[in-house]
Order: sequence, then structure tokens, then C-alpha cells
Amino acid sequence: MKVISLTSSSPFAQMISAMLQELWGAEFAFHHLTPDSDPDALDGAALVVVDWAEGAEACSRWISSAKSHAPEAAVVLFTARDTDRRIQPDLFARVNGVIARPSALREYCALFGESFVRDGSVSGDEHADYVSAFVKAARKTFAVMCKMDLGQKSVSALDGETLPGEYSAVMRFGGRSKGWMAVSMSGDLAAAVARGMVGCTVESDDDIRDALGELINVIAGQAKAALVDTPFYFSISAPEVVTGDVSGPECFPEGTGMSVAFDVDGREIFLQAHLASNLSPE
Amino acid sequence: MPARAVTGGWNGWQVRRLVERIGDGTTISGRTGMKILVVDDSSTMRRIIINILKANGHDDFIEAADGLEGMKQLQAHPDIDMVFTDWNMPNMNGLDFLTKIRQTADATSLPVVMVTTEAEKANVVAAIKAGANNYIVKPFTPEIVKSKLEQLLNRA
Repeated sequence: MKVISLTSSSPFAQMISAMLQELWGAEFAFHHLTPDSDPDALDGAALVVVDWAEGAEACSRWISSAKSHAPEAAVVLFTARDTDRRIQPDLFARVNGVIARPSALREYCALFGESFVRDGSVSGDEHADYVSAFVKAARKTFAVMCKMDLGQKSVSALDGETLPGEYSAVMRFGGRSKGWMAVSMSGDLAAAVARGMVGCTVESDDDIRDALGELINVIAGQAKAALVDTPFYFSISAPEVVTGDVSGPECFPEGTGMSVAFDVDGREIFLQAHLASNLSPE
Repeated sequence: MPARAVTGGWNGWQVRRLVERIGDGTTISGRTGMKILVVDDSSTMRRIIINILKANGHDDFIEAADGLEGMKQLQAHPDIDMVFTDWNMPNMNGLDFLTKIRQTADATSLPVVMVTTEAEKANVVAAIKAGANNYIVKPFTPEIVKSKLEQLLNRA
């Protein structure tokens, strides 16, 4: 059986291959096609998986190519969020199926996230790959500024939930991409972070807020530098630190938001980020 | 500490004084007596920088929360020997602050170190072009600050 993934993202193609391998064993031939590939390579395919994150126009073109070159093939769209279906109902109506689960990104990172994050590679316009830039920046910043090692616990898709910590530093992005990031943690951990940064006891809530604001500023600055040659490059704004149960900045339909939980000596720090490229050209 | 020229800034006298100090064999990290202006809108970052500089033997600091306040402090304290400044700040950012410093006759050669999250090469080049004497990217270790400080003083 010939299986094709249509995406410009190599990690995405690897994920599809691995997922199918797990489901079906080794009895299929897997091909990764990119936007530059010859459409004739679709000939004879039994299953074509189209990466929704490539955008509606590319998806539409690829679905047409797949229907034309492999009329017997099952064409499916892969998306991390079922809500994407509401954005382009016509597009979704043209395919035979949709792989749409909030857990998709968790699986993605479980399969490839660690190596992906370890080498810190962020290249090309691979969707959602910006997360590795943020994770790497967060780990370095906490290690250098707070003497804290962040152990990665879990990664999940973000869907507009409440910021998970008592203290949350939030920064919004603009420029070549739009979005935001947040770092959340408990009050105890926030105080420990501030202490770690200044090397002595912090005396007030203002000190904690200032420390967290600077922390997210440094994380964002590094992520920004790592993404300079990608469509996710952004300009940063002034950080904002909020406390209590508050909603994060609004998630938007484009792109994919991610929430990464880190372990710090049995306590949790959450890094949330949602970026979408090329939405507000400079 | 000898009286400073009233014009302030990083003048030939100061340079000679520093070179003499280095020539004396005094360890750079152990030298004291420099008045250092630390400009950052984050009080946390100012404390971090000052703590590191204190650990390297410096103990005379002036703080400012943005470039505008930094300019006022430079005018009020003409004996400032060195400036550490952030880039992204309200009211007057670090690059504009640096440009202002270099436009001020008394401070054209005052050593200025940019301490910033702006890590892209283009920004480093912009800062150097604007007259920064050295550049430190956040997050930094105390060793990095010490090393940059030594580079700066050896250059002088």
C-alpha cells in the first residue's frame, strides 16, 4: 500500500509514518512529498495525508492533485484541532476523512519532541516548530538566571484555557507573526524563581512580578533570535504579569498553540505559546 | 579617588588612570573606585548586574529605569565611569540612549555596554555602529560580565 504525506515539514511526515507504522505494522510504502514534488508521485496512492497547517490554499491544491492522480485514494486532512473544521468547511467536505484530535500534538511531541527540542533545530517554515525555540529558550533562561533545571513533563495542544499558575507572565507578539507566550507557576515557585534571579530574598510582590517580567522578556528575546529566519519571527512587547485564575490571551484559529509543562523539583512551570505566521505582514 | 575633570565622561585622564591600574598588576576584578550607571527598566536585572559587579570589586552604582532617566543621571553625575544599559525600555530605549550619549561632547568616549535580549546579529551590529563598546546578551553568567568588563578595560 502506498501512503503519502503532503507537507513541507519533515517532522510532520516522520510523525505520520510512525503513527501508521504503529497502527499497521510495516506493510506500507511511505512517501513524503513537499510543495515542490512532482504531482505524478501521487499516482497509485492508497492514502494521502494532507497537513492542514500548510494553509487552505495549499491544502486545496494538494487535495485536487490527489483526487486527480490517485482517484482511489483516501484523502485525509491532519489537524491538531477539531475546531479547524469550522474555518474551511468546504475544504473539509472534499476529503474522505479528518484526523483531528487535541492529543495529536501530544503524540507528535511524544514521538519526536525530545530529540527535536534537544537539538534545538528550528528551520524553514515547519508549522508549530516554533515550540522548540521557546522550550530551548526557557530551559536556558531558567538554568542561567535561576539555577533551575526544567524537566519536560508533557506537551499538549492549547485551546484557550485559563492560565494554569498563580503567577503568570504574559507577552504578546507582533510583526511577521502574531501570537503570545505565557509562563505560569505557583506563588511559592514564583518567589523561588525571583530569589534565584537576584541571589537573595525578595521582599515584595512587586519584586516577584518584576522578576517574572524580566524572565519572560529574556525567554522571548532568545526565541525571537532563534526564529529570525523563519516566518515565525516576531517583535516583542512589554511583559505583563497577572495573578490568580485568569484566562490566557485569546487563541486564534490559525496556527497551533502549545502548552508545555516542566518539572522543577516536583513543582510545575507551564510554558504556553501560540504563534501564527504571515498574518499581519510588516 | 582623585578629583575628576568637571567635564566628566571617559576622558584621556581616566583612560590613563585605568591603564596605570592595570599596569600596577592589580587584578581587574578586584579593582574598585569606578562609578557605574546601570540602566534597565527591570529592577531585578539592575540588581543582578550590580550584584555581579559588586562581586568583581565595584561598589559605586547609580541606577536608572530608562534612557531618559539615564541621561539625567549622566548630567547629574559627570564622574560616571561606565554605563551598562538595556535595549528595550520605555520612554527612551537603550539604542537612543546610546546615540544621545555619543552626541554629548563630554561623553563621546564613555564606555557603554549594551545588556539586552536582542540577540540577533543585526541588532549587535546596530548597537556597535551606534557606539556600544561591548554587548552582553541575556541570559548571562557572572563570568560573561567579568570577561566583557575585562575586555573593555584592556581595550582602554
